[in-house]
Amino acid sequence: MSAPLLETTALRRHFTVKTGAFGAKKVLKAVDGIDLRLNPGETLGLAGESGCGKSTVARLLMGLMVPSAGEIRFRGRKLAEMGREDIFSFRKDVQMVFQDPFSSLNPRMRVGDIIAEPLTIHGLASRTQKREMILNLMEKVGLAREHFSRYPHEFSGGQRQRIGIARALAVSPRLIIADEPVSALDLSIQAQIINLLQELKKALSLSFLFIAHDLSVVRHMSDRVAIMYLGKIVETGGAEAVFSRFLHPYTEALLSAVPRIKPEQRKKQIILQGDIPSPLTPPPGCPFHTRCPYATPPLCTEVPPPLEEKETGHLAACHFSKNLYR
Amino acid sequence: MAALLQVSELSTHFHLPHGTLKAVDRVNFSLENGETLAIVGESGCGKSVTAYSIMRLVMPPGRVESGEVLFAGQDLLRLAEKDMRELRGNHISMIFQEPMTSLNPVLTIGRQITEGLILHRRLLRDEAHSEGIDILQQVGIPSPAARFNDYPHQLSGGMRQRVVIAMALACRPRLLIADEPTTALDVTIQAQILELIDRLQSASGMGLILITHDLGIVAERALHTAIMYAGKIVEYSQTCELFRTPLHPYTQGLLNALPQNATPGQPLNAIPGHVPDLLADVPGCGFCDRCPVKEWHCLKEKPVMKEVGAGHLVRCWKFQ
Repeated sequence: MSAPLLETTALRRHFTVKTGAFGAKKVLKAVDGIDLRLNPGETLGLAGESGCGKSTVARLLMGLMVPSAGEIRFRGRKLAEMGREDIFSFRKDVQMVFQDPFSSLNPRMRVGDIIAEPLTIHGLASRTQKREMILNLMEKVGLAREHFSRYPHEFSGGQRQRIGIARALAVSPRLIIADEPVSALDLSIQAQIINLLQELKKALSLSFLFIAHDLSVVRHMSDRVAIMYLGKIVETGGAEAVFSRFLHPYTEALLSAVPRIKPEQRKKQIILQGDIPSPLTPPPGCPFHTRCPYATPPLCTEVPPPLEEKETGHLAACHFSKNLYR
Repeated sequence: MAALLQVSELSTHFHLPHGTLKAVDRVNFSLENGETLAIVGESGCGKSVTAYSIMRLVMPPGRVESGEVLFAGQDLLRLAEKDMRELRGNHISMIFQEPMTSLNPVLTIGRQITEGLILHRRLLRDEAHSEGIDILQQVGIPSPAARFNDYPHQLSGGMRQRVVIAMALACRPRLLIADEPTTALDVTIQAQILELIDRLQSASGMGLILITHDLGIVAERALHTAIMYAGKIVEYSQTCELFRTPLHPYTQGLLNALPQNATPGQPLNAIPGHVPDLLADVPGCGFCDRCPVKEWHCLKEKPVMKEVGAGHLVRCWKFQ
């Protein structure tokens, strides 16, 4: 196996939250001990519901937030020990595509300038080269030459997402962290952007961390997947393995909740009871036991299940993986 | 038996400084008691404006230009505002997309649920109170009596949407319009809410108009489906028929573009281009610049709705 591009070990990010004006301080474990591994040229899908900590993971990996504990290694080097210059080049190698194409572009900058900014910051092009490079990038992501001097408000959501992608590609990154890149887009446009990301991945041998809540999109995009629940990874493995031979009841419920188009694919839905527990007061034992149809006290309510390798390369954190009805 | 709701030739236009935007353009459909009709389309296709037009909630610069909305035999568009207010929230209710913004943040949820009961069903405050707790119980809110005096911010998104549903159903409406009721929610919560709506509908026998962009939700519950594009219904049929043999190239495109229908790793069959600007009134078919099978006359003349199979209507030159 080749050396991983990015690796995290026991990554944690805790926030101290004050509840109420005189309330006690509480610890919110947004990310609670996560091991991720991303190989060169691979797409890792990170899925979970809102509040599970997936966006915090993205911010930690971008170096926009300092972990409370654990470490991040990029191409074998610890992020925490990098000097100014190394961090600078790390920021060039890892770029981000955001969810909301409306708020992630500066409304006062022209498209050409938006895409040029990272080139200028990293000093990658002379003034004369720059225009040619930008036009090249715009062509690559499917924007027309005449869009160069327009403003973001003149574009539709899908085209704005293309601008955001061109900006991320400008500095030839190795890894792109895409946080819900298509969830704000219409169905017919979503497919265009997914195809564009796939094409770029192949053409530029990029790696992707693809964060999304839509499992059909995650399945389509990813080589490997990690499913998060309340700050922890509950299942991870190859995309096909996780989606067809899931080993965690949460994955099962998520998959079953996706409405099916084809009647023959439809089966009895598993409807989870209750809400996601507040991350401020996570349940003891297995964090999922409050909603799990298989939960069996006292084991599930008292002993947190470790994330274990159940099949080759396929890990799950559940006491009863073997018993899942499939 | 007359239909519960009969919408014919409904047009709603927005009069903007730089032109007239035909948000809803001569839309026809009908709905029986206890039936579910889904209206599907992308943002800006006019599906929400259709709902607002039925509820008579279109605000200037928008205006319902023409058409008829017959609800239990009377034309809603010609009712006096006073009579319409009698119906709204009473016989016809609506659930909105954002549970965050459709509740009043400074009133308790109990107050908001009982408002309709006191106004429409003339219940006394005490009666409304116990009825309100009943309704909260029905929509699956745990310990409803304690929750009754909570404010919206104290509830999670899924719970808030349950409250919105409770409000909409408080007066036992005959018609419920749900505008993207689960778009703002997580998938596991979405499954809960949809099951709740299904259950309440089969208990009360009300008609339901389900407005959504998610074809999966539709496939599982609507009897009929209308696909909207650029202000017009482009295809209308029984849902199972529509998914089995979609006729309009736009419907086909939408179904083909779904990641569920693709092989992982292979490119998706995306529809090229983007939704047209409704301000530019094109002479031909609204979909023709994205259509893979267009011909010369598609650009020149608008197609009309044609019945192809039994109850399967499509607006495309291929079938004229």
